[in-house]
Amino acid sequence: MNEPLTLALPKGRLQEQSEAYLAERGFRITFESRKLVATDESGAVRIMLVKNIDLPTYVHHGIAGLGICGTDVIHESGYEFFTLMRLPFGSTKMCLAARKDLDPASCTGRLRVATKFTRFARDYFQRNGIAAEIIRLGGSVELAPVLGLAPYIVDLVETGNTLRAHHLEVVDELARIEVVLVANPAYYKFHYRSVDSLVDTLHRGPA
Amino acid sequence: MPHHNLHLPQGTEAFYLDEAYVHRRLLRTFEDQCELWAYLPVQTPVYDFYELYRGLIDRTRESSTYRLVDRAGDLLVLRSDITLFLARQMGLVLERGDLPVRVYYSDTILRHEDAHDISKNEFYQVGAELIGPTGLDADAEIVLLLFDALDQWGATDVVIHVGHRALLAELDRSGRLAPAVAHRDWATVKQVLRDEGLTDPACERLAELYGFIGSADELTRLVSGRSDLGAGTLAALEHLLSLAAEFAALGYADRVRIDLSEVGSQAYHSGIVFQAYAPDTADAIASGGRYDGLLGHFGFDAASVGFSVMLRRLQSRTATGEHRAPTVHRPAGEDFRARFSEARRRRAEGKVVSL
Repeated sequence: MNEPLTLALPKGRLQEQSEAYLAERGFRITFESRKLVATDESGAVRIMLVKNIDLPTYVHHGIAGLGICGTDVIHESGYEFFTLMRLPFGSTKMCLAARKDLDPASCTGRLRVATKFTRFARDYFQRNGIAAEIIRLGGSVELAPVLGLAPYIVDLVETGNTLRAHHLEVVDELARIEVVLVANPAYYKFHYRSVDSLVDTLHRGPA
Repeated sequence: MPHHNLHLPQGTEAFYLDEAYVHRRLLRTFEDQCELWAYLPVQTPVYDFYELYRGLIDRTRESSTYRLVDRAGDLLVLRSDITLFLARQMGLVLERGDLPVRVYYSDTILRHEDAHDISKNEFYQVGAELIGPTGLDADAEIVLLLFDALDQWGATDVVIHVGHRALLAELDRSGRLAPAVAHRDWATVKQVLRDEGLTDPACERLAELYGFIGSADELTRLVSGRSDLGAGTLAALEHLLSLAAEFAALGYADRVRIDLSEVGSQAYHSGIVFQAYAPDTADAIASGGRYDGLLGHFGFDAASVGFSVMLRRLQSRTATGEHRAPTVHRPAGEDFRARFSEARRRRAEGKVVSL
């Protein structure tokens, strides 16, 4: 029997959806209590649960050959992977937002933007020729305009409820963020037949 | 004061004791193997005039090279790519009558790598180049030498993916197609092809071709009857199929895959390109190809094909068996002369003995 393929799944928002998606296609996974590594019932895929933000690092270093992750996290990591397929769940938007009552004319000089996604924000503003001062935050980015740290934020927006709760609104949609299956390029090259077969199975839909 | 005594600057490394022992064993194995194939050693300079390489170093690579100004005010570049430095040296010393020339090298390279990205550090390269001959035999020779070196290192499970840069030449006027194919980014590949004026069905069929990995038989089936391929593409495919037939006849069928998404990372690649992959490494451990115009850039027009191996990547998976540090024997007893005599006797038997 072939060695199982190695696949990293992100803990948190996407874990449940990823596991359900895989289970529907015949890859059922049960993690023993407090264990973060398991092999699916068919023995085809060895799954490891890792923190969302660390997932690209595990795939880049070949600890997991494959990973399911948002394009936002991949872009932020700076690593390059092969994108094998887009998955039909977890998509969201990366948006520029500000207070509803913000008068843009009051923002003089460089645009001040608070965000967790500094690489994404820097690349976006650079691509569009806008001088921006990027301030890195670890979370709760919507507080930055409320508390006066920065008039603008760049953040993921799903329903918009968090923005509304803080009297913020979307100024511009910067990108659509999708959940993708990625591969470490060297891993893909060595295991391409098994990986292509897995991708075919996933594309075929529920078993 | 920063704690400089706790780490080295980015772009260099040191290794010691057992690790250095393994490194040198691998090096010696490679050197012996190359000399059995009639390749001679070359040593490239540590730095050279930057202006000679401007235009050959792509922007990504350029940002990681170290440059400095010498006392005369000339801008210099530290050796960040041995292939380039070797081409320049060969251009200086070779004459037409010298060809063919077979050389090998083992050198450090100096370039910046991100601190967090330790898996990509490539500070030591060994490699070989065959200068002068063109055609199938020369391409086969260099790949077979790489196989021989891998086998001697015990890396018998490594596979080599071979592609051809000329597959793209007719359609990559923008320079955007090669990186998109190499990243297997089919959406961008199709967009670039559309920008070249191709129809959507033609883009689909070409993207399918560029994505091919497999055997010669599978490639033959894929391209048979296709009338949409240009003369350059057909010639490149024919060359790859002939090369694959050669490898199969020599017993390497299972270790060579035709991979049309291998298009080379450098603009100077002109013919076959290849990378070697192992089951448990996070990046290719060797890469190579043909670059027939490179020496001409330095004033000596000769074809060239070669490879380089990232020795440190290979080292992590060969530090077992005959390449690991040896067992050290220590004669017992208080008497130094007796221990010395015993050590001499056992060393004559090939044992490693410490006093």
